[in-house]
Amino acid sequence: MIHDKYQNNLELNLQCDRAGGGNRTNKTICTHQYTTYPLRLSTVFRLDGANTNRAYLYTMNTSPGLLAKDELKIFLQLENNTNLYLTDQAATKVHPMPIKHSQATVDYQIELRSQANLELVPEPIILYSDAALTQNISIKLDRTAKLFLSEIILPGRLARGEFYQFRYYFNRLKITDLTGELLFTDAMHLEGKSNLFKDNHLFAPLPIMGNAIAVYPDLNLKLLSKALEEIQVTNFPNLMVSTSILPRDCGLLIRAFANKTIQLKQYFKLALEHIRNLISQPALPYIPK
Amino acid sequence: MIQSQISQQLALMQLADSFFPTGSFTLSHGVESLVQTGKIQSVQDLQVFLQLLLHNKVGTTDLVALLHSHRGIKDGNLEAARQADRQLFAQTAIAKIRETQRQSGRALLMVSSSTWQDERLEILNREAATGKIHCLHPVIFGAVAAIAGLSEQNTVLAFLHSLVTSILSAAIRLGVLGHIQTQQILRSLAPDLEAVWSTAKSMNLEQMWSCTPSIDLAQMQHPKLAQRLFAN
Repeated sequence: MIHDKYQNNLELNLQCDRAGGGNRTNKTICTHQYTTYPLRLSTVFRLDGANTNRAYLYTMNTSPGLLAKDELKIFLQLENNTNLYLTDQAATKVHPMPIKHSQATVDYQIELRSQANLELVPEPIILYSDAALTQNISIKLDRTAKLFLSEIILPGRLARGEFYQFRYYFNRLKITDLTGELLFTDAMHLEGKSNLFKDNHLFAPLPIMGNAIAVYPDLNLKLLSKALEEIQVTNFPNLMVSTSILPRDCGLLIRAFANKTIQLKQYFKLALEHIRNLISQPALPYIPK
Repeated sequence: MIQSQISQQLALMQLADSFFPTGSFTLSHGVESLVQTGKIQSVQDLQVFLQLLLHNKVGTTDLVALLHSHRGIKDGNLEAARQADRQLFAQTAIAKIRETQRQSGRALLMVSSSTWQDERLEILNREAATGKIHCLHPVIFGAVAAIAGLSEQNTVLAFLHSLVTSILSAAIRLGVLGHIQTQQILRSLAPDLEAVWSTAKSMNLEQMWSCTPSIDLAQMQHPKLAQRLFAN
C-alpha cells in the first residue's frame, strides 16, 4: 500500500510480473507511479540485455536544483523479488539560502520486501555557498532484501575555489526491519563555513566524501570488505577507502575520499560490479547520462 | 540515598581515575593508526584530534547516551539505560569501536557491581551475560555514576577526563609527546570539555550525530595495521 497517496513528490511501487503460464516474465514492473513538481521519473529502461528482471529508472529534477524551503518527499516500495537500479540525471545543486533558518529538505521513505534488490546510486550533491540541506533516508527492509546505497558530497564548487562556504548538510539514515526493529542508523552533521576544522587534514583527508551501504544477507561480509578495499588499492591509489561491518552484521559501510568526483563514481561503480558478480547478477551496464 | 558532598567527590575521583580497571588504557581511539600513517606528528595535531573527537563525536553521541542512561537510573527507569544501549549500538558504525566499547563496558560493570553492590547493576550484569544488552561503555558509565551518587555534570566530567587522559596516555606511549606537554593539553582542553557538556545535556537519543571523517577512516583501518599496541 502506498501511504498517504499523493502526499509525496515521487511515489513508486514496483512488483514482479509473475503472470502464470507462458507469460511469466519475472520482469520488475511499475504498478504505481506518481510525480509532482519538481520531480519527474523516466520510463523504465531494460539495460541488462536479455535479462529483463531489473528495472532501470532515472529521477529528474525540473527545477534548477534545491532551493530554500524545498521539501521533497520520495516514497519507494519494492515488492517481493523486484530489482531496481535508481539514479538521477545530474548532480543535485543545493543553491544559496542565506536567510537564517531557511533550508531545503529531502525525505526518502523506502520499503524493500522479500528478495527485493535496490541499487540507489544518485549523482553527487554539490553544496553551494550558503546552502543548507537536511536529508532523511528511512529504509524498512525484509531480512532477505538487498541494498546498495551510495552518496557523494562536494563541499562546494571546488573548481571555482568554493570550499566549505555552505551553512550545513545534515543526513540521517535509518535502517529497520519490516517490524520496525532498528538495525543501523547513521547521522552526519557536516558544518560548512562555521566548521573550525575544515582546513585541517585531521577533519577530512581529501575534499570529496563518499559513503555507501551494502546490505547483502547471503554474502560473507569479511570477504566482501576485503575485496572492496582491494579494488581501491589495485585501481584507485589516490582514493582513501575503508570498510566496516555494520551492527548485527546487517551489511557493510564504505567510507571513501577523493580529490576528484569521477574517481569516487568509478570506485562505487566497480564496487557494485563486484557485488553483482558475487550474487550472480548481470554485469553493471553502461548507464547513459 | 542522600550522599555527602565529600562522598560524591570521592566517587567522582574513583570513576575518573585510570587506576579504576576498565581496560581503557588499551584504547587509542584511532590515534595509533593516525600516528603510524603520519597524520599525527605533533602536539598540535593531537590537540586537534582531541577537539574533533570531543566536539563532533563524543559530545554528540556517547555523552548523549550516557546522560540518557544516567537520568533513567536516577528516575528508577532501567529501561532508559537499555534504550540508550540499543540506540548507541545501532549508531556505532565502526565494528572495532563497538567491540571495544562492549569490552570496556563489561569490565566497568563487573568491577562496579563488586564495588557498589547495587541490584540494578546486578540486573545489567545478568542481561549483559545473556546478550540482552550490548553493555556499551558510555551507557554503563552513566548507570554506574548515577548509582554512585554523581550528579549529571560530575558524571560527564569524570567520563571526559577519563577518556582524554587515556588518549593522552596512548599518545605518550606512541612517542607523540611527553608528560609535561600532556598536562598542558589537558589543561587547554577545559573550555572544550565545558562546551561539549553544554551541548550534550540539551540533546536526546534521536538527535545524536557525528562527523569525524578522518578519525572514522583511521579507526576502520586500525585492525589492518601490521603492528598494533592498542585495541583500537
